[in-house]
Order: sequence, then C-alpha cells, then structure tokens
Amino acid sequence: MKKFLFLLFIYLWLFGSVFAQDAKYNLGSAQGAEDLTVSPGDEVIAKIFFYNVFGNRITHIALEVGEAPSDWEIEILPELTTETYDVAGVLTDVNENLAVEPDEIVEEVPAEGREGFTFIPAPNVGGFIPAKEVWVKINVPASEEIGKTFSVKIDAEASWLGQLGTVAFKQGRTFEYNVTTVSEEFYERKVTGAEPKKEKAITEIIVEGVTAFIVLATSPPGLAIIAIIVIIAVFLFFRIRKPKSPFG
Amino acid sequence: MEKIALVVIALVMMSGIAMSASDEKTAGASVEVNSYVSITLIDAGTEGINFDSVGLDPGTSDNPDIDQNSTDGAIKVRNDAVSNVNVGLYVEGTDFTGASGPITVDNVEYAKDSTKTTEATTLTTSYPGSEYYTGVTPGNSGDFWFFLDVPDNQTAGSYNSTFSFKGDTA
Repeated sequence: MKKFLFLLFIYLWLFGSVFAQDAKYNLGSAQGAEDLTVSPGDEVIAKIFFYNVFGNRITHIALEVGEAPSDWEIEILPELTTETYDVAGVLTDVNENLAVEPDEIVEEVPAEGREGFTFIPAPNVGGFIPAKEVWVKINVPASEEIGKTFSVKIDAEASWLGQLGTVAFKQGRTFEYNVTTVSEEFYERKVTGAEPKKEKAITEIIVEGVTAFIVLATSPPGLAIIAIIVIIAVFLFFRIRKPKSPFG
Repeated sequence: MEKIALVVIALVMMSGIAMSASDEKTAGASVEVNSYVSITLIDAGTEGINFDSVGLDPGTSDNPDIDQNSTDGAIKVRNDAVSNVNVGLYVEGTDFTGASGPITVDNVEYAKDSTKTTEATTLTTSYPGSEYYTGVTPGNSGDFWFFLDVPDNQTAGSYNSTFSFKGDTA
C-alpha cells in the first residue's frame, strides 16, 4: 500500500509539473531577400519560413496582404482556410494559413527529411530549425512601368487556442518587400540626339596626349618603368662616349 | 646611335604592354542575409491576464494583473536566441467586450515596473508609432505590467480582450 501511494504521489507530481509549465507562445520566422526584381507580365515568388521551437502551444498563423499596388495579384500559399481543433474536448474553429506545432532545433538535417518541413540553419545557436514554407506569389501586370520600385507588405497574425483569463494574447509581424520592375533582357542605347562631330584642333590632341602621358607616368608602375628606361638610356649613352682607342 | 634609338623604342613599347597588363578591374558583388525573427511570449503563473480573481468593482483604478509582481510583469516578451536582429517591442489591444457595452482599451495602462513609475502608457487599438522597448537583442526580453481602470457604472459581467505584441526589426 505504501509503495502504491508513493508511486501515485510521484505520478501526480510529474503530471502536475507538466501542466504547471509557464505558457510559451512562440512565433518564429525567417524571411529571404527583401529586394525583388520582376519583369512586367511576370511573376516572382518570395518565401517565408515559420517555426515554433521555443513555445509549448501550437501556433496558428493567418496571413494577408497588408500593402501592394492595387492592380497587382498577390497570392499566399497555403491559402487561408478554416480548420477545426479539439481543445481539451471543446471544438474550436480557426482561420489560418498554417499551424506550427512545438518542435526542437536539431543538430543535423535528417537524411530522409521530414514531409512538409524545410530545415533551415539556426543562427547563433547552431543546428537546424524545422520550418514550414509559405509562398508569396507576386504577379505584376504587363503594363507596369519599368524601372520603378513598389512596396509589398504581408501581415502575419499568430494566435493560440485554449487561452484562459480575461485577456488572450496574439503576435503580429509584417514582412516587407521592395519589388523593382526590370526589362526582360538587358540593353543600352542612347536616347538623346547625336552630338555634332567636333573636329579636334591639333593643339587639343597634343594636350590630351601629354595629359595622358603624365597620368600614366605618375602612377607607381609607370614611374618604375620610366626609371628603368632612363637607367638603360644613360648606360648606353656613356658607352657611346667611351673614347676610341688610338690604335682603332 | 640608331641602336640606342631602337632599344629605347622597344622599351617604351614593352612598358605600354606592362601598363595595360597591370590595369585594375573591378566587379560588383552583393549578398543579402536572411532575417530571422523569433519572439516568445512567456506567461508565468495563472494563464492569461487576470485583473482580479474575485471580480472588480466599478469606479476602481489601477487594478493589476494578479500574477505580476515587483520583479516580473504580467507577460515577458523575449527576442529568442536564434534571432539575428535586434527588435523593438510594441503592444496594442482590443476593447473588452462582454456583458454589456465595452470597457474601452484606453482604460488599460502598461508600464515597465509594478508601480507605474516607468513610462506608463495608455493602451491603444493600434500599435504606437514608436517602440516601447528599443533594441532588444537576441536572448533578451522586455516585461509588461498592466493596470485596468473599471469605469463607473460598468455593468456587472465578464469581459474579454486580446492584447497583441509585435517585435519589429529595430
């Protein structure tokens, strides 16, 4: 009997400890390049990674376009859907693009990977973070002007179910992109009128030539080479001046 | 003399070739490092924010969350170690809705200590223009202490609100 009570006490103590943990609500994200380029009529895809390696509750994430040019098409995948969760026996509906369960940083990427997850490097602490991908597809109208930069913002809201108390918690985060429209292929051509051909005066040519020589001569390699030429010239000069032998 | 002239000309030509061979060339290079932001809300004690365990009377002010004390706020907002940016911390809230009519969110103040002496600020329905905690480095956190005023003549009943936190790159 004593043994039973002791084991029961240990069990209840451990069971209680688990549920006595502080509630931790984690929203982790990794955003790639903020500066994007796209040609009018084309599409560019930006990826955002979400993870939950410091929380002990499932993080539910809803995304929406916060800012974008009015005639652009922005698609977020996975799409926003309504999901139903059983929270301690209570069915609750949530609008979300994705949900990220509590997880852990791993030392190495599993050889077989993990379905639905991308392992991204963990800054500062090392290892890899299992993360879920979101794609932001940005479609630019064919009529869009080239060479302009536009702002696109994606707003994320993270929520957690089963929160007790008068006040529930959420987290917000905004992902900003600067999208620049570029031509499909590179070219360069003069737009202004051709300049009239100007005949250079002989004095101009001489001045330009001397200026170029001075610039060349005053650079360190130029000075070294000129020094060598001078030394050789002096050597040869003194050889010529060597008096001839009176005997021929 | 002719030989000297030929030698000098040859040397000048060679120096021209050497100069062009030593011309410097530059090429542009750029790299963009991905931005990692991980924020954890740590709610110690009784889950959520509770301004009283037995109910509050109308006309009372500065009712604190029951779990906050002189060292720990109602909620700790941490910039996790895997973040590679410093963040500024913000908070916004919704009106309390419930039994009858709202308790508007401007009846809530938040501060950086338990006595409201440090930067007590009225809660708003949108994030303020400037951050409440500035430059929170990875691994560090900011605590929020909350205080609620109950308006006079507020109808009895349960009221609920949502507080949202944001960690923005500083």
